[in-house]
Amino acid sequence: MLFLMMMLDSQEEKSKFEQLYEKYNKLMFSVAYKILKDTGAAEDAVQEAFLRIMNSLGKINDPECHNTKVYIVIIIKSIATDMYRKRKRQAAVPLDGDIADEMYEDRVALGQFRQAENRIDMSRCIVRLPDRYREVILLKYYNELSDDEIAAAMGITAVNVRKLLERARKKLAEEYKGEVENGD
Amino acid sequence: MEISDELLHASAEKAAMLYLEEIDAVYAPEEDIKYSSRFLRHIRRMIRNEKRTPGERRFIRFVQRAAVAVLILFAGLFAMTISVEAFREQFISFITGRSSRATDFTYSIGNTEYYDADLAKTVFGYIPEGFEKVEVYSGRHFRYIEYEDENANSFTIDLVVVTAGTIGAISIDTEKANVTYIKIGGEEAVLSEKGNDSMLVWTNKNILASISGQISGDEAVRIAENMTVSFLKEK
Repeated sequence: MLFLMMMLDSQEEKSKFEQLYEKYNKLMFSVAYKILKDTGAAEDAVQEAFLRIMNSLGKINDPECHNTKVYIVIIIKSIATDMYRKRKRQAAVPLDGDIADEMYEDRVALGQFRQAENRIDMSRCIVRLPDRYREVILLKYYNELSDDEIAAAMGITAVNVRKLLERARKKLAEEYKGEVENGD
Repeated sequence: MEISDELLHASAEKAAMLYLEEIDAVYAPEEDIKYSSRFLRHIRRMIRNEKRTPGERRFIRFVQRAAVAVLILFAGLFAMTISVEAFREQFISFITGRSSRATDFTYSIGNTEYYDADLAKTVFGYIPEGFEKVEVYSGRHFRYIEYEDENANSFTIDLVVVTAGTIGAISIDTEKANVTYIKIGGEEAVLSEKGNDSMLVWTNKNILASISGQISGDEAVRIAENMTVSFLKEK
């Protein structure tokens, strides 16, 4: 009982920010490293992500919930992808491969098992969208963030959030139509 | 086909679960990630700052902004001149603004005569036990040194050579802070203390110096009193 009370005390003493760090730092580093393939750059991305998270701590109610995990993953992916693109633009010699290609291959492998379920499902259409499209949809309709909050999380302007949402919906309509026509 | 908001809301939760399933499969983290000491230091600092009260956080922001202000003004106002009499009087400090929250100080010299210094050769005769140098930024006329102990308490020492026609400025948070005016090496100094944080600003000839961070005022004063700047010949 004493041990349990000590655990509760120490958990309460930890700030929300500290809890988020403990729960997600490894996943965030893993996401950033997979995109950037550089330990130092991945650390910089994680650090930048925590700065962004710190500015929007009020939006996070429960560090443990799926909602928070989606939010944090999208933040770190946005930062690492932006850093990758900047490095690629600046590199005199092209970096190995292309991150979009590699990530797409991972998703194709995963998608094959999903398609085996053979059902028309809007949720699956959302997940099959290109990264930026599905992520803006999730932040808008799952996390229920405002355009400004999405802009802060993704590091873009609110105007670009609205453009991204518009394109995502258009692409989603094409995906859904394709599924219906294929009789999936 | 019309993709309505209602349809997206209804599909979003399942899409999020599929998304997380994919994230876990593609980005499964390794258990034994070895972060650099620099990264861990920055994270510890973020955690510590996040735990502070709003007043304490504002103090830190002031301290950080003050250090930046010195460098920005130093770099940007080469055209400014103020005429004064002897060198001792040439290097003057005067209050440019005082509000309920802050006091701004501006330092400048008026003519072309000033002492140059090799800030890299500055000797620190006293640094509190347990603190180690973790970062140094320097230029021809400025040097920023950060110290940290094993509990992630840190303080910085900023030195700027205010040269002829330039101006150094610093803003000190004086709201609910214990502010005292003292002498360091016979020259005016301002010490502001709030909670565990202190900020000491003083001058040594035409060097504008500050110590700020998680140390006591007494420790800051002791560092300042035991610091020796390597001045070069008078210009």
